[in-house]
Amino acid sequence: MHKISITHLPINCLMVLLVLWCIGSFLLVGRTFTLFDKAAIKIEQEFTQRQISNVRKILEAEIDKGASIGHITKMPDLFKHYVGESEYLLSLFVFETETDKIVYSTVSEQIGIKVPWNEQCSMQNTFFIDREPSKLIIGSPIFNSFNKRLGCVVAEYKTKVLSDIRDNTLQTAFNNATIFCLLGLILVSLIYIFPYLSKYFNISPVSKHIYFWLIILTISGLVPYRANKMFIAFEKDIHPLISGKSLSIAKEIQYTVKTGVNNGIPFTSMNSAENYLENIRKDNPEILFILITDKSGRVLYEAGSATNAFNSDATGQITLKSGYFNIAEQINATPLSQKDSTLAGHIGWVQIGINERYIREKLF
Amino acid sequence: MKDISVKNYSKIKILFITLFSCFSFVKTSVALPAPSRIYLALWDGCEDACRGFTDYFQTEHMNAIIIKRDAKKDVNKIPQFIEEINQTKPDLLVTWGTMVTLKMVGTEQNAMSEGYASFIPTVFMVVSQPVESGLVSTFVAQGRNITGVSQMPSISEQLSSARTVLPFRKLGLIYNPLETNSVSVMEKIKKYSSIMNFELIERPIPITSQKKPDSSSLAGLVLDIIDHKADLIYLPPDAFVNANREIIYQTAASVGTPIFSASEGAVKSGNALFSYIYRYYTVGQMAAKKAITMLKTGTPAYEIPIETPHRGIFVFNMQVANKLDIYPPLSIIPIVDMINTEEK
Repeated sequence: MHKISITHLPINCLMVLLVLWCIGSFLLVGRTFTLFDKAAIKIEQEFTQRQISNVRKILEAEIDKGASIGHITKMPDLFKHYVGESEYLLSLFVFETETDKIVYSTVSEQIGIKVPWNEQCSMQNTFFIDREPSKLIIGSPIFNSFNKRLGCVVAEYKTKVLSDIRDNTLQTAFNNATIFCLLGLILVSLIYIFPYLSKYFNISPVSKHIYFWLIILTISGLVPYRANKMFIAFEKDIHPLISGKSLSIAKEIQYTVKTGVNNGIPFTSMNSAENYLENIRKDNPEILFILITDKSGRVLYEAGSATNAFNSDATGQITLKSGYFNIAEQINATPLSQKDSTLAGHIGWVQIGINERYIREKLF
Repeated sequence: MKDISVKNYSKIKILFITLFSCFSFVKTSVALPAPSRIYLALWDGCEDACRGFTDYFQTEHMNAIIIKRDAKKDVNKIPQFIEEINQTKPDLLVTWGTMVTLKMVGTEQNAMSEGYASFIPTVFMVVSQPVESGLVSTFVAQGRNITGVSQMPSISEQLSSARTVLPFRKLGLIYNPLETNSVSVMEKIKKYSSIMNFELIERPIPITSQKKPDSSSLAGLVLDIIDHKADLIYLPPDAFVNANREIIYQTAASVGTPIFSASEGAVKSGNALFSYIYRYYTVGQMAAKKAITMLKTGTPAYEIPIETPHRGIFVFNMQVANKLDIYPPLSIIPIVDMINTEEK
């Protein structure tokens, strides 16, 4: 029986192995890309739909209280709050079903303009989506409490940011698949030329084996290292989306707390605050913790495990663990004792800790 | 040449007159139909539901004359309304409140008796319990030419909404055993107490020898409920209890027990902590929508189901909330109507 050694494999056999390795690399990287791409689409959907449905619910509640769609006093403050400094949102507006005209918009030039989405924006508790070359348009109808459609709340998002993210993830996928292929090529080349090299340098058989396996292990070790790099690159690509979504959630919590405090609820006596935060956390798997703190940073309400997300060094310096990042939004409110709304003061913070590696963790 | 042009002129003149006559005839035959006449019978002035009703007619550009009649809380005026209806024969009768509705069109049992305007299609609004009050036997296919909008969320909705705010284990209830509405609410809450896993501490108001509920016993009843460790007191849609609600508030507030009211008034102008309701304005609009459907399409009232609005709202009295240190949960704050938010 002839013993086959790995260092004496015929060249065509090595070539087949290399081709199989490259196919495997492209498949695995492609699978990872699909996972991140799907996650990015899901985040985008959740982010936009959550924003619109929150605004819609508040407007519907105002209508239930007796306001008419064109005269909701909360609208400017609410819209300003939700648009904030978002780099995705181009405009947020409401149009009336009866006239098709925009009655309120964050872009004042849009007010009074007729829009073509009356028929599309008609199904209760659903969203219509329209795409223009540079815009993604999402809307949801506003109904009164006896199911009469009164209008539609619509948001226009920049598509460039989203398409850039996709281009980046695609580029990352291609680069990494190529690198994996190259690693395979280097490995196969070393296996092929190793007998010639050992002869040339006149290495003893024992040392030859040690050197050979050292090289194999080093190159094999590069594979997980490179895989980790690949995940980090993907995570970096979709970071703006996750951070945009988390910021919008922070703004939603901030608005709720502000409304409560402005109406006389003491900041330290928020009823069921932790349940509310926990439900948000459960709905958004990337969120590790949510904190509401006073302005000095003392935690008043908490959901999730904030302590597990931090490292402390010998000097007592506290930092977030690798793979986590934090978003902090200031809460400004005017407690009732301070009637002048221009004196809205800083009362605390909403802090959201995000696990950037949640997609990777789902994979394993 | 001159003669011909004169002849032509005459012909044109005749043609013009003929066309004008035809146009006038067509114009007369397609003239707008006469506006519908709606008789609106009110109990205590044109309040929110009445405004909702009339506003909706305006926004829908409905050609109608609304004849408003106000009983000014006087039952004796209602026969005059019926007399006027018999004489003027309006297209539709709209009634406000259980009292006015029952006096105008009668219950399902006595509707055919004399002295009721039951021959006319009717839309009611602000009738809290149309079935229990005997107006109809069901909300759908009601069997008489009457439809309308009830302003009270179902008992299960009220209880589960109250639980969102305060997860009570023991619920106190004081009711007038002489009021059908009140007894019916008590029975429904009793039924739900086993399903929703809470204990109902119900106390009927004692009846005096004059067959009237005894208001002097109210404070004692509240204290008894509190002794039994009720987490929340439910204020039913009971005219007697509501007329004497101040005693209930004061006694409950002295020991910090919150009150949930079935009606908005007890939160707005009383000292109940909160309520889950349908706004009267919306109820009025919804009644108007039904009225317009009937007038425009000729659909009989019995083919239009009796409904309640599809979405309620929480109303919180923030002054009471501050005193009791019980606030709406954070999750519902953006949609709660927080009233009486004065400086602490």
